[in-house]
Amino acid sequence: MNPEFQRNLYLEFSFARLIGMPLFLLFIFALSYLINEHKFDEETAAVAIWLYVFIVLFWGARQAAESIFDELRNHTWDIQKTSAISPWSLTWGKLFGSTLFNWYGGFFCLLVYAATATETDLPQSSAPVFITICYAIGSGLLVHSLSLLAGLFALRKKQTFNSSFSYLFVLFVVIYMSGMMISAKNDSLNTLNWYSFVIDSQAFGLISLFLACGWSIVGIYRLLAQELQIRTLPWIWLLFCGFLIVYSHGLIIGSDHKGHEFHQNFASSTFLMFATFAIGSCLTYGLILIDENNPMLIRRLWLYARQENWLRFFEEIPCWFVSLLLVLPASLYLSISFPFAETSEKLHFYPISAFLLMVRDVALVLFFNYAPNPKRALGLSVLYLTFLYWIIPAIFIEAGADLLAALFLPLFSENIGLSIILAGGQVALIGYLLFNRWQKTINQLQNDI
Amino acid sequence: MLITVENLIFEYTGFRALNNVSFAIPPGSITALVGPNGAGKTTLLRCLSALEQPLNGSISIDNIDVLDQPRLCHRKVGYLSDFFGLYDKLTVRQCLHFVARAQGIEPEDCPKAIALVSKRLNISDRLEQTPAQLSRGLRQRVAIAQAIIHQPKVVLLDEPASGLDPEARHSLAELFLELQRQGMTLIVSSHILAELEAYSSDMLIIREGKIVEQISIQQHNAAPRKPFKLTLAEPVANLAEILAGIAQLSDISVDNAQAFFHLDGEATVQHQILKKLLEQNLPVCEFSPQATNFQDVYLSTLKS
Repeated sequence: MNPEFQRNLYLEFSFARLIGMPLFLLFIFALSYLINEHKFDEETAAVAIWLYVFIVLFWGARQAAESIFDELRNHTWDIQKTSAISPWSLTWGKLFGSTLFNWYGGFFCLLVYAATATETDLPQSSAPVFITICYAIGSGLLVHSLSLLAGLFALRKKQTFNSSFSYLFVLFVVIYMSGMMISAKNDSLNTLNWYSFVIDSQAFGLISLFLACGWSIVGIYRLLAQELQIRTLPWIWLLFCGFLIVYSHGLIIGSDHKGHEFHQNFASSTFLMFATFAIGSCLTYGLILIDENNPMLIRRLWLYARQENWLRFFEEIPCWFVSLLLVLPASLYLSISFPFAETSEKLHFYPISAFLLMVRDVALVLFFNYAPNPKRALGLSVLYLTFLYWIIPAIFIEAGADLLAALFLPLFSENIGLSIILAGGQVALIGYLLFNRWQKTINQLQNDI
Repeated sequence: MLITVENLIFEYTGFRALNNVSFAIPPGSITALVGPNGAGKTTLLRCLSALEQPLNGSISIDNIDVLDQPRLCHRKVGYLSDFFGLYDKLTVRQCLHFVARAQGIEPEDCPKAIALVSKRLNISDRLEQTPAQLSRGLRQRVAIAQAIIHQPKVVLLDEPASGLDPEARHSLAELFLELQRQGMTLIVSSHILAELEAYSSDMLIIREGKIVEQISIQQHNAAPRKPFKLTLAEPVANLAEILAGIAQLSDISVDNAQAFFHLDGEATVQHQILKKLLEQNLPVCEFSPQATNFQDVYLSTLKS
């Protein structure tokens, strides 16, 4: 048996707990039966599904994240890191081992739900019940894997205080997934188009859910592999970017079948590039904000490049940089085929300027991360970006000073050339500050030597 | 050599923790890794156990390139960190079983491995207790048992005796010597030099991320030039002159009725010198080699 799974079994499955969980659920359902005038019907099914949400989604998410934080708190992470256990064994050992007790409780909840909801759904088919159960299982799996993933990102930053951030993130996903799961059986008649395929929206949602589970498990595997000192090239990240681009491009093209007017103006390749731009941007922002950003990485990359050690160079290259690189050709292509789109009365979408602003934002986040005490880098980055994108431009727009607003957010400029110059100026300024801060760190190092 | 480190560089943000560190360690030795706080001891041990990726340099353990094959290195190395942790909710047996399995020991071989390591560490009677119920000394033993259950060739221990009482330290020293007899090579970092003296065969002095000196204690003690101490029953005015007249003595210092010097020669020479001193009618009541301890060697190395 997988040793990590077995260790979790030792921890989670005492005899008392094995008996306690079904007994606790029995009492709750008995209470529900008595309150519900001695009937097992949709009220009981609702109680079962909410108990499932609490036991599997909320409690399970906490258990999955704690499987990482506990190792840090108890100083046992080094034991696992120096073991011969494979990253895959560790992935499923932690993911399913730490949450097995929750699945045990969830199993009884779903059993009661299936028995009572099928009864009340009649004379309709029992397919919606089956779909809800699939959603429930998929949601549980996704929430647990995302929770573990968030824990691993916190671990990379060696900041356990990030656990509260991870919980918030997972809480958001839990609430969203609970909503999706509960509304699953009410949404059976819609269809959607993905490329030219007409797919039942529930089936599409379910497939998407399990694909998300699959990718988040792959993410856990990759992060654990790095923790176990297994060096990898960023192929999987590229594949993930490619998957998301194709997935979203399919939805954009699919919506063409619904007769949207804007499809008539652009080629399919423009939408592909738009999807690349959007997905690349989201992944760049997401990853630069949550992943570890250490100034020594630039030094290492520089050293590997000088030594012409390209394998190590590409093994250490950050994944956000790979996503950022994907955005560059997309923005160049879009600037030719899609150059002057207005998104509101004054705001424009200039692809090159938007790309430059992304580079500025990356530099800004790195600037805060390269500070002597980078613990507040995430908060500061979000605060500054809020000011740069929203508060300062809004003040100037409201005051009628559009040019000043464009100085901070060049997408407000009427002129694409001016917009590019302003965005380029911001990149140069933040880039200069970032370089100075990095140089200061390196000089400090030279003094030590 | 079992362990070879060449030009190892490790940097934290704005701080170089290891600066071109190079050394080699023979098999079957117990090397004391000593140095002031922040000298780089823990970072060095973590690099050796493939827990950290250095910026540059190479580490070879039992012909394995640690930087290229860190996972293979984990099979050869047992590591005990300074802030070691144990799974406090499991029993000692379950802890050992988990580590044995995680180290790739087959399930059917686990009971044998657990029995062997617990006997070796004298914790056989504690297997059904949880680590939380054990004293600090016993917890340390359980942690060491976890580190060596897969019979590694190299055991790296970071401050293993911190917080232990003298009795527990003594038994730990005995244990290290036992592991050495069984063919393991140990590197032990500590601040308590007196404790290292009981079992170390080599000393590696690290300061500000650099290896200052590597000393073989046996060779050091076997060196012909030894520090000696002469004690007289009462002070003698011309003692310094008398001693200066003896060719084999150097670095002479006289303090009232006592004199300290280095003597260059073996037992016969020592006998000749004592004879000379007595011929000078000196009221000798003690003439003996001064034991060199780790503290002296360490301090003199740091001073030099």
